Amino acid sequence: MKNKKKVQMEGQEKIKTPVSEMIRKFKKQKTAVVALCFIIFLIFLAFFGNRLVPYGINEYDYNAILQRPSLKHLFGTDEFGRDLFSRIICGTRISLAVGFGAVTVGAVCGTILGLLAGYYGGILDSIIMRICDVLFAFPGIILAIAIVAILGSGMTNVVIAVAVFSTPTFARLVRSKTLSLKNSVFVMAARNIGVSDARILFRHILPGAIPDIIVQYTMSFGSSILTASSLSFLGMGAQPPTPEWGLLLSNGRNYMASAMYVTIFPGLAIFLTVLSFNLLGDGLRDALDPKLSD
Amino acid sequence: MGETLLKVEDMKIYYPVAGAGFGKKEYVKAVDGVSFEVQKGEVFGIVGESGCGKSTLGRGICKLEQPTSGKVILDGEDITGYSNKQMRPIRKKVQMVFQDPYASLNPRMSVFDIIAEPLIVHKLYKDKADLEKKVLDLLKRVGLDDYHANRYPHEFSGGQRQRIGIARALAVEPQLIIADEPVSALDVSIQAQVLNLMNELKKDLNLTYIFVAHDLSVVEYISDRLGVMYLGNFVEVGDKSKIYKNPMHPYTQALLSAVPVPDPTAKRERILLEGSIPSAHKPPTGCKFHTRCPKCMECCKTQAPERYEVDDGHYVYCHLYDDKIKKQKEG
Amino acid sequence: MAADNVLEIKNLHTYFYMDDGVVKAVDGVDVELRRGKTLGIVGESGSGKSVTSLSVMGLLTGTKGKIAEGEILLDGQDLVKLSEEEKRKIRGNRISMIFQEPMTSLNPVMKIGAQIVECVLQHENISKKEAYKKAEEMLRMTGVPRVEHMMKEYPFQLSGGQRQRVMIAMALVCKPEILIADEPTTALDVTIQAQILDLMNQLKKETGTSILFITHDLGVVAEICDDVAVMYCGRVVEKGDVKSIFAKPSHPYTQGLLNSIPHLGDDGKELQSIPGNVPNPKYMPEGCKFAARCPYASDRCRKEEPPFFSVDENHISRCWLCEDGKAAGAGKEEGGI
Repeated sequence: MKNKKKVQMEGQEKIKTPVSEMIRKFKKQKTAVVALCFIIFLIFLAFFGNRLVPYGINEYDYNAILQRPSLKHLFGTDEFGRDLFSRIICGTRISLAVGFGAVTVGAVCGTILGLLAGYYGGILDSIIMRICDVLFAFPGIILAIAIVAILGSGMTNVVIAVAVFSTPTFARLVRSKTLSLKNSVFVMAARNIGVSDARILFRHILPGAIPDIIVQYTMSFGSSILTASSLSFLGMGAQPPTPEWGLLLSNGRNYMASAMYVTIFPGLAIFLTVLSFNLLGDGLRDALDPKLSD
Repeated sequence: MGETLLKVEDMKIYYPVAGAGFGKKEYVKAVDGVSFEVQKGEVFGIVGESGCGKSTLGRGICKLEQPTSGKVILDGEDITGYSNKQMRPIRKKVQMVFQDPYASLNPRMSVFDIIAEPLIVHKLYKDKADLEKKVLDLLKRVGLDDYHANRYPHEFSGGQRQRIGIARALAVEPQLIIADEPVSALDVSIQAQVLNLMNELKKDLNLTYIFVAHDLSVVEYISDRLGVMYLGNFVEVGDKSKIYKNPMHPYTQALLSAVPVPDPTAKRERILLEGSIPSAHKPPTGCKFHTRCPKCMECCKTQAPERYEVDDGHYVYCHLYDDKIKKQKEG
Repeated sequence: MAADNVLEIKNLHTYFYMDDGVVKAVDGVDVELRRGKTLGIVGESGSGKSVTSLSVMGLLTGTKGKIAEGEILLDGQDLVKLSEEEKRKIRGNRISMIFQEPMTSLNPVMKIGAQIVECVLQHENISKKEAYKKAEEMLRMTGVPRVEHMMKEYPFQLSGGQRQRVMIAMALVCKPEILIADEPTTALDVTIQAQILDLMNQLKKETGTSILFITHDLGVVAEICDDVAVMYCGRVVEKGDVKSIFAKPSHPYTQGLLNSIPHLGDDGKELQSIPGNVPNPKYMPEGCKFAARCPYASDRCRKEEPPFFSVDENHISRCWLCEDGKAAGAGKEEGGI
């Protein structure tokens, strides 16, 4: 716009958009920033890890079975002599992909359902929320097991299972936010202008709910990785020889007494990943909360 | 003048109360049978204390609340039963300015987007350049600068936000603006700026206002005619000068005498009302004001007063002005 | 003169230390509250009037605000130097405060009676029964109906005006020397406001309490105050006797404030507003803080901050135009009004 120059002259301060405010507040949270760096590192590994690792994931070496961590094999080797370090690095991609796929599907479905339920209310609201209540009544992992049992094991079905059980969380969250925003003065002001329902939903209400969705998204990301790993651990998710973390853990279980590191390192990978997503979620929540100014 | 723009007939807005007994519905009677007309080009003020239903009435007129019964006739068109969709073209004629300029602007939209929205929704622009020009014109109209357009509501002071709210209302070039306590959240010096702006816009754009407020001096400043509300009903309607110089209803008299005057030497007789406004859930029978009225008579407790014309276009809802009762008293 | 001042605030500076700079909310305030009188502090939002009252009450702990300089003398005793514990003893006992929002300042899950009794027991060593009696008596003085009943009710069962009466009862039950009222009637309707102002005037006479009344409403000031201090951007710009201030407003800001209120009976005369907005507290201008919005501002105003000049007996104004004892704008219009 042509008035850009004037902005610099007259405005003593930079324009504060909601996003720039958020970034400013987020930067102050040291743990969350560290968590974010770690997650960025994980994403980098997910994309390029398989090119950087010293060994192939299915490179068997029967001369070096169950070796202790050494310079040659940083995390040691498993019962087939495969390099654990390389397998864990390559497993990053699988875990992140499962988390991303499942939570994205869950968030999109849940958000749409929540918006509709909250905005229109009535019968539609009752139906959607009762279904969510039913899903909430199951413990997450049991629900996932049930779905995988019906659909059969395999990573795609794990994604579907995790998506189904994360949907109601989003639906409930978005619905409550919609209910409060629906009665806000600025939505009334929008109705007064003659804005259509669809535009009110997507231009006025949804942006208000996005911060909460983002926080929930990060939190769910961690827990879905955990659920997916648990399913693989139980043998219902990834199948050998996939280097899925849960599966690695499950294999290592047999050698716990003699070779602890086979379980420790995959466990540590899961732990750190889930923890950093939760810390990031916490940091985002504080950064996005309008009530916590400074 | 003289041409009726808005006619409200016996409007009632009731809210169901949760927790009433089985099978029996109870209501809060926020607006309980209000009728009035607004002429083109005039400012009609609605005054009353909190809880009297004045804001609900304002929202009922532009259908942001659905009236329980009664009629709203705008420019000869009965819009009472209109659906949201049918209301959309009507919104170009009636706009509302809200009380709280902090809450009525979406915090996640830039000022440009906020003011452009009505233009986009009603397709009132030719192309992008035209839209931009129109928004900047509106900003100038309400006394803001071009560079404000890229900013977000939280960077503005209360008075500036109210200007943004007014610019948004003006975007569709409405005939009628319902202003719901537009200056009550502002500091006095800013309040005067906004009131002057509204007066100026009215003259320039030939607007009609319904001005809802609790501040009697503000209403006197801006209105031509006004109605005083108490518990969902008008108690007195008439020309501003008549009501302020010669208030007839005991409530109006008390209300006017309660306004603090910025003059420490002034000595006035103050009519102190006792108690506070009864709940609109279970309003008193008869005249709703009788529980606090210093001139309450027997008939007030049971019988709701009718409308009495005490002067040309000056109506009072009070038994004191009923000729029959007057005669009975004298006789 | 000094002898009959119950409270003296001397050169008070209260600053808020934010991440991106210091906000000088109160920047050199001197006011005196005479015994048994009412001092009104008038100003718009951001003028520092509420921060002044919080500084006196010692209620800044927990915020980023701190008294950077100055003295607050209660009967000659400097409150700024007291420890937290000593301040707590003074609060509610010798100085008490009522707030704008009576709903949020009452505990929603405690009965009215219990709240007042607690207040008494905090500061007086008497039995619960006596305290209850005292509370009832005080509540009766504030003119609420059905006192025995109300003692057993919860705040949500009362109307706004009744809540404010309860707040006043709580504030006055320990017979404080000073009552600080921070916009006590702003949230109330005019008819209720009239009742509360009436009550405060009457209680002042009966108990001899001095009142520090903080408000933005000049009408209310005229009704209740004996002295007035007008604040703008953390400073007092004009102060003095209420009659003199209203008769001869000498600072252009005071004049502007008076001109911006529509008066009943003025019949829609054009309002004179003060142009512009209050400056951003992080970028305070040099010189007179009001210069940017002042119709009479000269180059001198923009560079040099004026000291107080005497306008009348008991009436001073911080404006260069009053330097020779005249009111600002006196040459242009009759007294500016």
